[in-house]
Amino acid sequence: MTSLLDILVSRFPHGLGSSSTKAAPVAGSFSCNTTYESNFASEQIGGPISARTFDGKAVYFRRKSKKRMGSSTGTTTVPANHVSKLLDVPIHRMLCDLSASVAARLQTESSEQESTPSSSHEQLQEHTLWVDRYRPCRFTDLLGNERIARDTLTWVKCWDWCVFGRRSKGKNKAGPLDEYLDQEDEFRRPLQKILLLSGPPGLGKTTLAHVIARQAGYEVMEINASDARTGSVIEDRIRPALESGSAVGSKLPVLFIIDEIDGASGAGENSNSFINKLVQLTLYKPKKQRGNSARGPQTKRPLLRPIICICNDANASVLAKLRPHTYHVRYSRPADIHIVNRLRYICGTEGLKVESRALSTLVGVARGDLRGCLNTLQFIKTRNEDVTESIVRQATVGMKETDLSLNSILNDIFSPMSRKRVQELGLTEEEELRYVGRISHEIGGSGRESAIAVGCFTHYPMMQQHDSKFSRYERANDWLVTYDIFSSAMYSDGDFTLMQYLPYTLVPFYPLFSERGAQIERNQTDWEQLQVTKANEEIYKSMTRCLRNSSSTSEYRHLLASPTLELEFAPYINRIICPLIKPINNQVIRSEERAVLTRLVNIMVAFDLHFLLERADDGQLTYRLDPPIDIFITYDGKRAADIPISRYAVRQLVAKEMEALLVIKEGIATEHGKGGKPPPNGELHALFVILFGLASEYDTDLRCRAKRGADQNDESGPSKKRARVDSDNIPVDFFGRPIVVKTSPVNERSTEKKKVEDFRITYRFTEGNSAAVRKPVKVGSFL
Amino acid sequence: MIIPITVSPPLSTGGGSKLPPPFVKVSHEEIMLIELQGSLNVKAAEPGDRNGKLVGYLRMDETGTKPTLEIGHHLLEGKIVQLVKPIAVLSRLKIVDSDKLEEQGEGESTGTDKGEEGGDKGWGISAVVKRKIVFGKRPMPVAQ
Repeated sequence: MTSLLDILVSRFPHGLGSSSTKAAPVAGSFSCNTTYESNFASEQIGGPISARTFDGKAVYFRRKSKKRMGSSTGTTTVPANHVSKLLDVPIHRMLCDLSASVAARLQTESSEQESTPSSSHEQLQEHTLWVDRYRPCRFTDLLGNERIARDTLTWVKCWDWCVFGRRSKGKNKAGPLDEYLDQEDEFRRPLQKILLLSGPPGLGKTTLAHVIARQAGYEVMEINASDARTGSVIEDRIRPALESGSAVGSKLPVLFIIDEIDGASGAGENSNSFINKLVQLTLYKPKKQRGNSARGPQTKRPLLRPIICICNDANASVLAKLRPHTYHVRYSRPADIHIVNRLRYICGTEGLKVESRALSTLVGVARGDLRGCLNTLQFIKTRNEDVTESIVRQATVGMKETDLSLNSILNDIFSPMSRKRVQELGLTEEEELRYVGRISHEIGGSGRESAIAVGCFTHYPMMQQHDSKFSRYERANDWLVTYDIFSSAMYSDGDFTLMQYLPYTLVPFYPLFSERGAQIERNQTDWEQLQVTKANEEIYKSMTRCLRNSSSTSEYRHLLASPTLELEFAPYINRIICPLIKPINNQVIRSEERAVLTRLVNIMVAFDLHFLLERADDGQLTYRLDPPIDIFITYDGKRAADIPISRYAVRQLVAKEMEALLVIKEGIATEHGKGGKPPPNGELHALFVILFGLASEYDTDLRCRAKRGADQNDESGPSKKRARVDSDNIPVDFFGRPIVVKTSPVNERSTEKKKVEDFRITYRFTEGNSAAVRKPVKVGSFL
Repeated sequence: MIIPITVSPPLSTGGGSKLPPPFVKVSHEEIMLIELQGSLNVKAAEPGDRNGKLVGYLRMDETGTKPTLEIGHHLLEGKIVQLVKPIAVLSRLKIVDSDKLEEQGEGESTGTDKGEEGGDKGWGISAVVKRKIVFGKRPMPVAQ
């Protein structure tokens, strides 16, 4: 039975005797006897009907047995020591005694209260905030959208099966939420384990969570994530409480409220951040119990208690990871009239004279922030003033601004206040014209002056102003320069007293450019440029890495330093690797062109640059330079004029040459590394120097030497390698087809024969039986 | 037919060179059996070529507990195991025919059947094998 129904039950006065107010203290005095609940429930056939009062306290009604229908014994509350039905004293007498004692105690208390001086009592009252004093403590007291409260309560009730082990009977009623929440898992938990309550500040989200938790029979544990924002809090405080299921010294199950969760850490990828830990906690699924494996203390248990998270901005980047795992309830601003009524009621009890108009103004200024309204009212009360409109205006001057987005601040700068807002604030025309205080306050309150300055900078040229002399723009420019001087002085010298002047340097944009109906579009150019810069930095980084990897010698290390790389190395290397080569056959190439080509190949290999074959979007094959340093000579889609565009055929030629050279180099490297001994003669070493250094000439003779070097490798090396090296020297006919080679296979065969002639003995290990099932399968079954 | 078998002290240590293939003489006295889990692949041009060739190196460490066998580019690690039943190595005493040496593994038959028939023929126990070296693990590749 949902507690909504429970409330209805508890409202019936005849169930509790004369009146509910009388019964409440009696019930309260017994509610501590929770140990008897289970006894009682098991003994009674049908069990008692449990109910909750407005305050969330438990009340139990015993069912009338059918035999005693006629008798006048009314329903009673929680029984006393109900060990057996044969009591010495009949139960009704015990109840009478108890109520008498309670009455006596209440009487003494009231007399004590009377004896204490009333002034001190009042003073005590003055020390508490009105917000705390008039905080709703019952479900029905909650102000605002009832639907939100009901949604929240339904979600909490979905945990009943998991936490209390009984099924909520209210399920039978068809609700919009039900089918959604019906997909319960093995622990009978709702689909979403976390409730995310979001909304503007001061509307009573925290209060709602507390009231509902108490209503549903939970003990509340609250953590303010803006204080304790590290992931360790989850491990240290939340997990133990959730696993033990109840708070220390309490029998009620615990419900966690994480307040201000958008202040928690968690935006990063760090797996130890608060949000990540929370998600892990939620997602954790116990594995199937395997045998009787000992469960160590490290073994984590699944989440079995509800968690309510409260935040102001549900779209905060911090919460991005959490959001998919939550059931999201948006708390919206209740209708002004409700707030005004509540405020009037409070003022009435506090003995404050109010004007209705003043109250609605207050609510309008505060944008529905009930907490702010109450604080303001209390502030006025302490000054012993009546609440009138002018006083409300004065008092709300310093009221906390709600978090304004960057866009709305920019809108305020570039366009005058909307008429509605003016009306809401109840400003006179003269007051409306005073903008400096208003705008500087807004800018200063946001704390993002630099972002606003960038916004101003991007937007002021867009404003359509008829100004032949450009004097407006000039002045705007001056102000921006002023801002820049101030902020740079502030950040570079650490002179933060300048901070307070920064907003004022941006205020002049209002008189200069404000225009009704101006729409500020978010300009992304700044961000886009930042992204491009980052991407380019990455390219430089990968280039540095290539250089470091390729040159085993430290010859080029001096090029890697930051300004040298960008200013002296990258621009020139782009020119160097784009020489004028005609794409012609390898064989027909002229000797000077051959020299250029080999030099280019050497350079590219030395700096570990590659041409990668790729298929473009239009299906055409291209060779892409990797790392793509050629973007540094491409501006806005146009290439620098003095650098020839290397064509596909040229790149193909170069790529092939590079491949051949790399194979040779690799062969030498393996030879060198494998032998571990110095090369047989100086020749190989010299080859090394030639290959790695660019200074020496690359001649065709080297190829023969390299081939010899490759042949000296072990015979087991891939013969492909040798074949490829050979293929470079194979004479090619006009169409580029190799002229048949006859010599090399003969050679190979002879060496093979020689090998076989040796006596060889090998050991073959017998593995044992394989249990694999073999059966014939046709190829068709794979297709 | 009764075949006489004489038990003599390990007589033919001198002729130990003629031990059958699975046996190896370790130290001065003991003869051990070698067990391989696997087979030896011999690649030779002609069958006769394999005679007298080196198969591998059997090494024993100082403690005498860890034998290793190196065959080709494989290194095998073995262990020494006590045989459940000892095995006797029999050799024919008087070689009448050109029969080669044969071996019979019969631990229990030692000393049971004794007869003096056919005095020119007889078998002598050349050795009793009590332990064996088992190479049961997967071989490790060795760089030469």
